[in-house]
Amino acid sequence: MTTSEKFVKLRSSDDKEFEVPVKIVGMSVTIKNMLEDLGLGDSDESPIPLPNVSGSILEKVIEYCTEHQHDDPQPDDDLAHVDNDEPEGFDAEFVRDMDQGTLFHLILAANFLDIKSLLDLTCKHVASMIKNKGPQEIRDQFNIRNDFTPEEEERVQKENDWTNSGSNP
Amino acid sequence: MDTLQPRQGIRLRKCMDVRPVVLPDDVLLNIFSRFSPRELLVLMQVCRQWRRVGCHPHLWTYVNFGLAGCELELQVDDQGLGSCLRLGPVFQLDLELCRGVRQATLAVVATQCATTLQRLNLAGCRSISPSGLAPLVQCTQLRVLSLRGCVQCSDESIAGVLRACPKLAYLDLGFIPGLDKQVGQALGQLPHLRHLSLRATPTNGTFLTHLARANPPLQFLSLRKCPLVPMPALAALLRTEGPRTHMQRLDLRQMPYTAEALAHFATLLDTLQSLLYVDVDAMLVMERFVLTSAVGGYQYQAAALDDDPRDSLQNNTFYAAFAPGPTRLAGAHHETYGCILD
Repeated sequence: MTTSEKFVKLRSSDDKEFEVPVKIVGMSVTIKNMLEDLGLGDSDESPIPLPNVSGSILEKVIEYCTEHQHDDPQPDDDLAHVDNDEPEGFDAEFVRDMDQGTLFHLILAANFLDIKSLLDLTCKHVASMIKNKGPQEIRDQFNIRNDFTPEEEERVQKENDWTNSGSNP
Repeated sequence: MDTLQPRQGIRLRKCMDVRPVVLPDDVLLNIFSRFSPRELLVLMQVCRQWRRVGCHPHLWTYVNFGLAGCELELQVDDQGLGSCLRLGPVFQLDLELCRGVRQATLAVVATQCATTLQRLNLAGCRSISPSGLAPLVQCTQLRVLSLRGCVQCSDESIAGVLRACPKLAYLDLGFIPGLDKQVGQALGQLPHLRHLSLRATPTNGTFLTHLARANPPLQFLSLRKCPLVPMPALAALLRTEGPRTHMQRLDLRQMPYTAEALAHFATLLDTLQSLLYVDVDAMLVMERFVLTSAVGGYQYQAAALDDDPRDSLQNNTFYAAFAPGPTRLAGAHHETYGCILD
């Protein structure tokens, strides 16, 4: 493929520019479609604007895509099968010490750029942070406001708490 | 994950500057799809958005409250279960070893998902009363049903379910002490039955004769620890299938057959082209059996002499054989069919 030599320029929301090989940037379905539909990126000097993604996050995304550029493309079956295996190697390293803000912004970026493997990795990591926690612990951890009215909360609790009666550790 | 705790103070301050990030619904759904129903019920108590996403039907097509989905046995609350099943359409429900499953529970199941439910695992639900299976006659789409160890269920109520569910392809009736004529006859009317476990039941010759008459396309038959099955009846069952037999695996462990009888039986097996595996007690018969069956390439499995209904050879393995369908959490809870063939 001749495209492997080509580069595309990306511009982040905070006006940082990145020059990235097409092959790597092509892991993002969103960008790939843009390039194909609009014919951008060929000899075009103007960078593709990514108004939803900041420079530091984009840097992370590129780091991930560079590592995974040789992977086989994943079957596009959405949520049909979800693997819960622990990430290994680079992937485990990649998310391990990430602070929560970065992690969430990375999820939003992966979602916007449509990079399924990155979205799955980050979602899996969030899932592992939630595992085995109660509602209040989860709210505390993710800084989520409890927006139920007291009546709603009581109803929800009644409806959802039956699995914890009697048999909880 | 816990390493984040000590930094909470710093992070909170930072969050106030930046505003907390709100994940869109479809991303939350991706995250939620990694949780069991029991865990989802906790997530749905966090806030309105999480509750809304937790109600997504996609999360409730395969509802597993069984042992694979929970670490501890669960006390089922009929109303609570009902409100979960309402979120479906539910195709698969697993209540293995749940406590307190009764006729009323199954009535809730039938009300909420009679038209969609294809796979139902009630293994080890010991509290179902003799006639407790009655509501299941409405679940006419069932293809996979495990009643393994539902020890109280009567012959009559099981037969009623079998008659109402002509699509059944996988059936586990292991450890049910009450199996008798009616179930034998009803089994004979299941044209798609491929996998049948009668392990540790009072299955007898007449029972097998009914089965032989119907000649379902059986691929797996377990008669493990069925001391009342006479060898000639079993031979007759296998012979009726004749050249178009489908049988791939036969479990004959803990059977009161002599080495001579089995060796003689093995010559019959040699004519069954499809048969790949016969499980027999190693200590009983091996020498002769190896000789006769070397040609057919059978494999042997030394019997594990346990009789624990929790040693569920089938429960998870057979579900996997029934893909497609929602296989959420597939990697975590399902083995491939291959593993029981190893």
